[in-house]
Amino acid sequence: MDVINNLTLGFGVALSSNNLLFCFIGCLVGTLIGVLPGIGPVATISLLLPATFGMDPTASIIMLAGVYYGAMYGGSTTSILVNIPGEAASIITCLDGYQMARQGRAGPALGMSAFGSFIGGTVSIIGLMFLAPLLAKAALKFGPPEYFALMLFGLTMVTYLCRGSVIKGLLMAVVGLAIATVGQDPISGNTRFTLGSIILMDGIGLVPVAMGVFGIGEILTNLEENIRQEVFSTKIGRILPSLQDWKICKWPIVRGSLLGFFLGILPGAGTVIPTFIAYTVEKRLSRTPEKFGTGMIEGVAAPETANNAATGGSLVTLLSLGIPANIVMAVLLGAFIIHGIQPGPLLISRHPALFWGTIASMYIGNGMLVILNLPLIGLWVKILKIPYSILFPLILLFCFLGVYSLNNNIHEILIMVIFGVFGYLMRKFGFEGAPFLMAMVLGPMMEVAFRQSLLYGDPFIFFKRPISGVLLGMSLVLLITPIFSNIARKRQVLEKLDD
Amino acid sequence: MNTMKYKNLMSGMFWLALGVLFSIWSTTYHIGSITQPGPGFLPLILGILIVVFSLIILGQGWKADPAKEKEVSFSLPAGWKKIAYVILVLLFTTFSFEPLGYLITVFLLIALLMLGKEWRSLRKAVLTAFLTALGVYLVFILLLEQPFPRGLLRF
Repeated sequence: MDVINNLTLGFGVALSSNNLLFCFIGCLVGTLIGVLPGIGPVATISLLLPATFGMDPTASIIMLAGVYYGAMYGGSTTSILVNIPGEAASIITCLDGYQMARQGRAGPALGMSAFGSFIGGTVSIIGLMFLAPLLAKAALKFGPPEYFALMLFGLTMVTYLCRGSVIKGLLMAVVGLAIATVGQDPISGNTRFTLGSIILMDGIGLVPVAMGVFGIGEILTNLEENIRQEVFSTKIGRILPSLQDWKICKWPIVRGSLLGFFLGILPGAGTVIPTFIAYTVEKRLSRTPEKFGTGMIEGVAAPETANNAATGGSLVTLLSLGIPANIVMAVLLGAFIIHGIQPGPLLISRHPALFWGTIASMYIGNGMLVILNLPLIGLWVKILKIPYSILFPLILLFCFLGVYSLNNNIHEILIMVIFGVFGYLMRKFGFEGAPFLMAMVLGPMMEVAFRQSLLYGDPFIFFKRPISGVLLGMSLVLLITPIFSNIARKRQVLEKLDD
Repeated sequence: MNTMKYKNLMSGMFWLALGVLFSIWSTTYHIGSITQPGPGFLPLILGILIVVFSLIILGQGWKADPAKEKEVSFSLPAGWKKIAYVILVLLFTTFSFEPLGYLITVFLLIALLMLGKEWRSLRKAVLTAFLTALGVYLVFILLLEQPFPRGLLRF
């Protein structure tokens, strides 16, 4: 009955008027940036971080988590109505969602994605609630070698799963780790690579870098591409899906929930990959796979359920092991640390009110989001009509003022602008931002774990301990497979040429 | 410049230079040994890895045949002027923030960005910039009491 006691505690925390308000703000901001293309949860959570400094840690985490899962709700609206994904996790929703809107079925598409999101979100919170404490117990036995191996595995997964060249991904991860070494050495206290600057003594801040690469970099890319937002239909019609729609979507939603949750736990999968897999699974299982892409409601329900289910899954490793499964979680990890809370196996026992309060707030937040997204859909459509020429200066202004208010230091704005240009060039030259930022967050923890492990006196300790050995083996396999598949592909080409 | 070949060659050279610099720089710190690693130990490994990966990327760029790729153009990206302008505005406002103060800087940031292209007319840009500066004063100064630099103006 532990769970019931804990949940009672959690709801007690989450239902306090203060936390309820911050949960609502988080969900509202999340939906807003989900609807708006060109600004995502990574930049937004970094932007809101300075605003949480004066707040109680529980309220901050409740609000920032709300932004994350709220964005998953909002993203579908833009995909369905404008055929531009509001969020990367809603790319696949464009395929059938926009077609449904063109056929005059925007209402049921929006409705089903909101209900699917609610079900997927709720299932994943239940999973998180049961799995995180179990994993935390197991992780108590972890020493520095295991932690190092686990973080390396997470980083490898992020690199392996990102788009484009694996070598470029690896390079970005190593550069991220290198940037993380700027500042004070966590073990000896010596300063490194600071050029004598006091600002750099503390290291290069996560917030200016995240906002640069994912906020400014994204805007510069969008400016080049000239986003044109044309809302397809302003008349949305009946939002509630019909009984027939529910019959079709019943199993896609169940499958989407399970797929999303378990893939979300996997480091690196994030919220995007589960949507692609959920869509593919539905297409495979369908009796009429050729009709996918022409406005099939299950093609909207499955991925929209999966991306919300993945949010709960990705919180599992952060809250139980202290290891982020994707970049949004990496920024959230930064938020924990700023508030003086070390996420890890002891988090649940040391800060039960925070852990269970956050879980309870997620149940409440998912309820709020259905209300925010369905009856208020008209409001979001109006926001979609704001032209980008007004929107992008405002987003830049928020980044500017947000970064300044971190430490009241213009050098941090400068760091943000430099990394914005860097993020833009990265995209132009085919490099991915995710491994870079992930490595930057994990860097200091990885370095400590790495050097502590070596102090055991045996450089092969990582391979001699079973858990770290298996994790490192898996990372190695991940790194080697692309090389082999490359060789296999070349061989096929050669064979074809021989024929 | 738009082909993958040139992209790989250019970025490969950039990272190679940076990797070499970083590796040499790390040797100025105490490296230690494999069982007693010092502050320069991990940076040195990372520097060497950057060099190795950038050499692979350079190699890929060297081998690639640009003729086989679809786009073979050597021009800058279409919107480069717009992007350079936005970056310049951001840099200008970063350095004007403290001397000019937040109100003038916010006004300039919004007005300059909106005027940057045929985006909006002068009147609309000035009006939007004015309203935004007012909004920033109300929210950030009156409500959130942020210590933004006042600069030239006294409030």
